[in-house]
Amino acid sequence: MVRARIAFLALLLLAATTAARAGDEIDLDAWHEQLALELGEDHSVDDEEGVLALGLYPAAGGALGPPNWASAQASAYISFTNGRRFSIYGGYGYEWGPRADAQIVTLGWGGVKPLYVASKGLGFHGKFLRYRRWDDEDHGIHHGISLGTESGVGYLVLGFELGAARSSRNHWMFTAQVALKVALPVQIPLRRNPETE
Amino acid sequence: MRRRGLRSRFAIGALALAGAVGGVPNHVIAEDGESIEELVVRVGRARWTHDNRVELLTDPRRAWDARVKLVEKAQHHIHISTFSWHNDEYGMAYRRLLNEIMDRRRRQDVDFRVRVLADASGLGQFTGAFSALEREGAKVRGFNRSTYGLSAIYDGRMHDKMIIVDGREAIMSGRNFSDLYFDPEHWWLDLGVRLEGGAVEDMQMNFLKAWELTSVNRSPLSFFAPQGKLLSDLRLFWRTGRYPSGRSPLEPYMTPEFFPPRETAPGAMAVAVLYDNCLLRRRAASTDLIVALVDRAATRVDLMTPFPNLVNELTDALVAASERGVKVRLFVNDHEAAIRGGPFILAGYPTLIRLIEVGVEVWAWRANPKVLQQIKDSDCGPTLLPPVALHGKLLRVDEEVSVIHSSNFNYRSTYYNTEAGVVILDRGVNRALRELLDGLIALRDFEPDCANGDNGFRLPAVLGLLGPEDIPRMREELGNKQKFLDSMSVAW
Repeated sequence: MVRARIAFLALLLLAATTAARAGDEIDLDAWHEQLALELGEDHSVDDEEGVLALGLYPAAGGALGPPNWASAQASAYISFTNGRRFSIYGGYGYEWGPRADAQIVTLGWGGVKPLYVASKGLGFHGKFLRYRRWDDEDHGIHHGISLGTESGVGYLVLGFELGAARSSRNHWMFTAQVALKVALPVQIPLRRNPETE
Repeated sequence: MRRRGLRSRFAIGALALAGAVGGVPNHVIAEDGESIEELVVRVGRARWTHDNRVELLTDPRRAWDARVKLVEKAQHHIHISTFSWHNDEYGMAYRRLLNEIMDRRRRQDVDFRVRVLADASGLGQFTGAFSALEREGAKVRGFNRSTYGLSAIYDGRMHDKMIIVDGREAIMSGRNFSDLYFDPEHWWLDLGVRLEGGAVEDMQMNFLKAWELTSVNRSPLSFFAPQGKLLSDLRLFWRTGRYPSGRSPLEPYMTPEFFPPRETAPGAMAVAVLYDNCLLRRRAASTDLIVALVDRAATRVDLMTPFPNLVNELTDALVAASERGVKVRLFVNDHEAAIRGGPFILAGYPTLIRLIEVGVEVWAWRANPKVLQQIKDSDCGPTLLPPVALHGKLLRVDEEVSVIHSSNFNYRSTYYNTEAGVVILDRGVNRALRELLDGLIALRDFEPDCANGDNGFRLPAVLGLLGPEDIPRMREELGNKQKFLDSMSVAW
């Protein structure tokens, strides 16, 4: 008969050594200087060294929420990044809906970016300011502004947006959309990545 | 009543060992002359503290008791970071306990604070739990609740789990607040440590920085700033404690109440605190350290993770270790005990197949509620039922180095989560973890000595060794999904 035991161990270890720190106060700057001394200046952070690149991001899909409640959207963005601290994108798109169609101009921080997954992949992330020229069937042309974010993993994109539009006849429309699209991210390096050289 | 008597004779239970360690070990030197300590500093970007007292928390009942006792000692503050906090028995019990403590302490000290930093994806789900805490005066923040576009929606899940009390004592583990981690009738095997000593100071600073960083992320103004600038500012803050303006939100915490002086050393164990945050570093230093430790293993490597879709470098390191004669064991969940099924299981198959092919021992946990019911029905009920899944994340290398972490060592943990862990350089802890793992394996052939004379009873298979015969099945299940799974590994 085998009597096995699972060793769920609570290990209590006690030993005496000298004190590690003295003094009542902790000095913020001295604490970090000491840390840098022990670990190196860039101890806890990395400044990303990406690659200077252009990105292309055509996407199409649907959106839920006012003013159309359900609409189809298509857009194409171009993005530019210096690979480190700067990434910007912009593009043009169109929305088709039962209440109003719209031409869309988007400008934002972000763009196509490498995605850290098991295979080489691309993603997208942006926060944007968006202009829409709505053509409303009942109230005519509206000019609208909205703010939002978009996140893409491979071919899938999820976007959130809030905004408002006003017509020349002072009619208002509000935009509050969740968009789900498919996209084809492309990144064109403008400089070789030092990591691969 | 009868079962209670039988349980006392059943040998599955908690075993407490006590031991003492000597000075700081510094003799594990690689061929290139770099010691383990230096490796941890260089690759793990963590410093060593040598005055720590460490208690390993593996038994769910002990882990719960330790959490209760820890916060009951609090005089000035309690800091908690967690991925999730469920509205179940243990989740609510801990919330009630915190409410009681806050009620009691604040009568004596109006400055007594409980700060809870939770992942925002869970925060919405568990709003009720957090609201109750806030009503009692706790401060609750979602780590990534309102980043106003700072990062992509799939970025930045807060996955570290810490409890820090008065800057003196802490628990770091893989456990959230839920029955799954503490209910002895239905528990996931997880790991954690209770710490006193210099390591707590580093944990405290990490918590406070994450807390204040969250405050910055919540500002709507951050929407209008470029991500690069925001990230650069956050990184400077993390590195120096100050923003580019010179301002520091940490200054109010630089007091003995948050960072008490340690006049006597609580212990003598060498511990390095690991912390990863994708806003600060694109890739987790902890994963790089795990790879480096496996790379220099001489005799043994044990790795446990519930999600074995390991980053390629780690799989490569395990393969290389096995090929140079190191005994490598991997502990994962099989289908029957999977914490999450579907793609979460399949995503790990390519790693498992590679490791099995080179002779790595892949131990797959198979106990689940059905198996537990069989044990209960047998009248051989143990004092502690076997876990229904593995959720622990650990690495032990050779005879001295152990890492206990919240990281699953997969892509999500390496590139997208915040994670926290400890490296412990101590033979006693290393041995304890080995005995734990050996004990799990021993359960395969376990024949309980039943008091009712039912000695023919065999414990149902709670784990098994995956071998080459399993590879065709795994390949078949994987089918042509690997490309999709790899491309979406941000999700699992």
